[in-house]
Amino acid sequence: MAAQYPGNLDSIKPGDLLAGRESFRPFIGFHPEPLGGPGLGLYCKEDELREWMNEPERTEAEAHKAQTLLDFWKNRTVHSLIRSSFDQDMSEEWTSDDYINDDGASFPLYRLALVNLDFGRLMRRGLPGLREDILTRKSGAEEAWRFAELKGSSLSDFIEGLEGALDVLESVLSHFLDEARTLAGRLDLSAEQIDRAANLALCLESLLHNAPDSLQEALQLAWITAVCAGTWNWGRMDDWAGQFLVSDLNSGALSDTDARELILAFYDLTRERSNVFNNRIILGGLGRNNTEEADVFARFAMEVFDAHPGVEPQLTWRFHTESDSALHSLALDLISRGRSFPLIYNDDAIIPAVASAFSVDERDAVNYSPQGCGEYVLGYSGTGTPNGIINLTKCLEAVLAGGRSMMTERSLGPTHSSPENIQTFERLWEAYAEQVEYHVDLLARFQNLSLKTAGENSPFLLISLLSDNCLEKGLPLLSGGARRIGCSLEVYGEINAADSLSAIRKTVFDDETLTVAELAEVLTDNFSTPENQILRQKVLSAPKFGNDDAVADSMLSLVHNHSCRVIRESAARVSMDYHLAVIINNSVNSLWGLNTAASADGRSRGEALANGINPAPGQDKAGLPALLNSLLVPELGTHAGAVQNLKLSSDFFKEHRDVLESLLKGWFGQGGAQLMITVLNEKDLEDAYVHPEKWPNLIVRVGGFSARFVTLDRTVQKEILDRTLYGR
Amino acid sequence: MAAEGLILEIQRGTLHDGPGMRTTVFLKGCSLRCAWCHNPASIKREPEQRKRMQNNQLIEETAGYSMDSDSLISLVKRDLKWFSSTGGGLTLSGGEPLLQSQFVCEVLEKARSSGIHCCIETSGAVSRESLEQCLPYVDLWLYDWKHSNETELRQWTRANLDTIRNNLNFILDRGGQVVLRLPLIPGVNDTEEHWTTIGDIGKHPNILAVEILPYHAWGRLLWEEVGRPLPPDFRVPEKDQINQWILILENLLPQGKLKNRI
Repeated sequence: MAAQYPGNLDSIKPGDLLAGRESFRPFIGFHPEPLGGPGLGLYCKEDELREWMNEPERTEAEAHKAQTLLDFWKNRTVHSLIRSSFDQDMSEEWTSDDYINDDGASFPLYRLALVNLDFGRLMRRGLPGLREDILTRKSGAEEAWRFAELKGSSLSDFIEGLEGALDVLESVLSHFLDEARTLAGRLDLSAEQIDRAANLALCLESLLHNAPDSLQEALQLAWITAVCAGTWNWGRMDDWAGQFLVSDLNSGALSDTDARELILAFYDLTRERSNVFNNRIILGGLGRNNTEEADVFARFAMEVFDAHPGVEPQLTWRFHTESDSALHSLALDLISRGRSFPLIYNDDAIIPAVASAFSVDERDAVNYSPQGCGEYVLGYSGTGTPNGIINLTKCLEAVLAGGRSMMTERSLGPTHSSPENIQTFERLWEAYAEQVEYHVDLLARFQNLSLKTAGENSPFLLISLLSDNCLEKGLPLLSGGARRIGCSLEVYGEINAADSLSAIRKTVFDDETLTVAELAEVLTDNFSTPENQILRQKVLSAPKFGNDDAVADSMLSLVHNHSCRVIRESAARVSMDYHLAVIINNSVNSLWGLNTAASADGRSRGEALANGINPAPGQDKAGLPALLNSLLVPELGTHAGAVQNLKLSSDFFKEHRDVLESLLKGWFGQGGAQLMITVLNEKDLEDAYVHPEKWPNLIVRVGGFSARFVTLDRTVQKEILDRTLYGR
Repeated sequence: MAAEGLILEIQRGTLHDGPGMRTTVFLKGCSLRCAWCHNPASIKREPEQRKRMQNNQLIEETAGYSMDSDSLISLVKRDLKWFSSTGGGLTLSGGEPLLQSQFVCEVLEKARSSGIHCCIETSGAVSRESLEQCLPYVDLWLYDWKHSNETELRQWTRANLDTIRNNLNFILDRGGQVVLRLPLIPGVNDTEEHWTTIGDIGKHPNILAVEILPYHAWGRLLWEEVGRPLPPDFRVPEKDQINQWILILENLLPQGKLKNRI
């Protein structure tokens, strides 16, 4: 840590309200989740380093140095240590970690992601208080009259390590203090810039000696600590920062505008450090300590975002029946303006679901945080990193192709029987379940291996210091310190697998149009011949999830409940507290689609897999209520997050706001957990114009009636497009 | 034995055919021949072949299918929770739904007994019996008012103004709640006589709102789909002209009654 910080951080710029920009991402270092390369703890981004080494402007000495580093780290990074500990099954199944370019039904991921720090404790104690806590723990050990004997033991190493981690934080603050003082003395700067530098110096100096006492100090300390710890998320920020905001506003230390500028400065830091899959700020929800102040912060946070929109930070609004209605309305306002944030989460449905999935009581579940792409983690009580991905559509592909990929013919999983032997739907399901369970088991073993190996080699001191129980137990996070050790598993292709199974049941087993073996040939052929195109139309017309169709929706339930259950049950076998499915939103569904053969639901080879737990693109054709009915079908209490999207027209927000609000209220009242709402704008309409097949449900208002966009004449579509583009 | 209806299309989740979020059932068959009709596939009282573009491909399909009232109601009831949260319900539209009054009446009766709010959209060019039969089950009438001049109305739509006027009065006198819907076509019904008549009708307390539906040419192309000759090419009103109509109507109507549905 001392080698990395403050060295890796950028200097304060004139006018900055907060210090600690981090734009530099070194090739080699220590980080829980380095971007751009696999690893956790000690890492080396070999590909990036090699690329750098081969750039034409490299000198021979530089290239030589790079090669020396590559050789040195080859067997020393935590990633390589984990890989070299693979058992035979893992080595055979995962010949590569490259899930983007290589063919596979599951892949391991190497990271300690989605960590939440206990910012509340950091705020209450400040650096001096934390040092005091460490000393107390140390003297407790001394009082056990054996500290001398403990010297060199894991406890004494850990405690010394924690002191060292605090030393680093202090050295970073001191470093920026010097910089701020220098800036404040520069004659070429404007009075405002000098003023800001002087204030920043006061803020940094105070943090060296006291717990934070102002919003600026709170944000500064949180930022520096998270950057040095390598974490990307901000937890329940309204709760830990609200009291500082309100007290500064009340005392007149900050004007309303000053406070907004500070929050924006914090947003800007997150935007420069950029990690679009993280940077969550949780607002609202049950279980906050300072509700009133937190609500004030939540309002500021949303309004500042509204005035300065972006893709980060990922504002997240947790609400429940007693939530402040003005704040809830503000959240919807932002969404209606196409901000796509905040992401909204229904505590009333999620808290009981989290309690059930994680097997904790509601007092713990109340601190769930939707992180990253939609995975719930339990506050700062342990780990919840998603370190594996599985493709259920690919698992079905492997079954249909006799245990091989239709793309490269590589062997996948345990299936060996030929498709000719699959004569009933039950037999097909058994083979599919066996394939899925094999990968889940492999990944569960991997998750355990990765955390264990990381724990042996990387103590993650700052994270340990600001996680439940580690200091008290005297153990680092991954070596027995965490209150709970668990992981999640990213599940993709769930919808396409379910729709494929529905289509197979209908065309193969009910209608007997073709056999499983013939279907496998059609899929390998990617529906290219005229006869196979006719078959494609047949499978496309089979029931699909998202249409309030009992057959399709119950198949989805079967697939969903099966994968969620087997993942959840695998935790006990590898001594984790939990291992849970997450069915989330990111780009893996598209990337993995590229390596997935045509599927029996009619999806062609290379086409994206359905995103999250949403209908396959273009397959929800029965209207919004039908879609909502289907979305309520999958169980909530067996996974750690399933993302559901809703694309609504901006007219819905503008002209029928009351209907929309009551509809959302109804949806959440029915047990809807969350919704990611997109308001259709010009870009969406343009896409609908270019790819009408993806937008069968897009209804546009054309004069006295509503029309499906795709059924309109091209010129009419163009006209609507133009009208929208010019905002007329 | 449940009555069968001839249906053109069922849309779930509509927002423009009555309050809240609704299921709108478009029944097939209409006695009028409005020159500006934007849904010509709803005219013929039997299933017919339709050629249309979908996903940039010409497809041929049958427009119109039969469904009995029980099946329809069980489909409609799947959205009960969304009706109750948004204050929505069922809207029967067309075509002219009241041409299938026995079916409509049965559907309405069953819907009402399930607590579903019911709307009917009608041209009013229907028999008194069909109105009377349905009246007890209708919460809100969406009543088209196309023209206020007897000759002109007949020329453009083949309708009889007396029938439409008397039927409207009948509904209002019986306490029916009405939203008056005005298709507005430049050069056809943007006349002084029309405005004044609407102003008079609109004063009735049971006329809850008046909605304008300015002409658009987008329904024109649909005539070819069902093999009908193209209708006249009316002028699409400019925004300024629409605003002018709004001003005129706002002056003539009680405050707040005009709703601009564009």
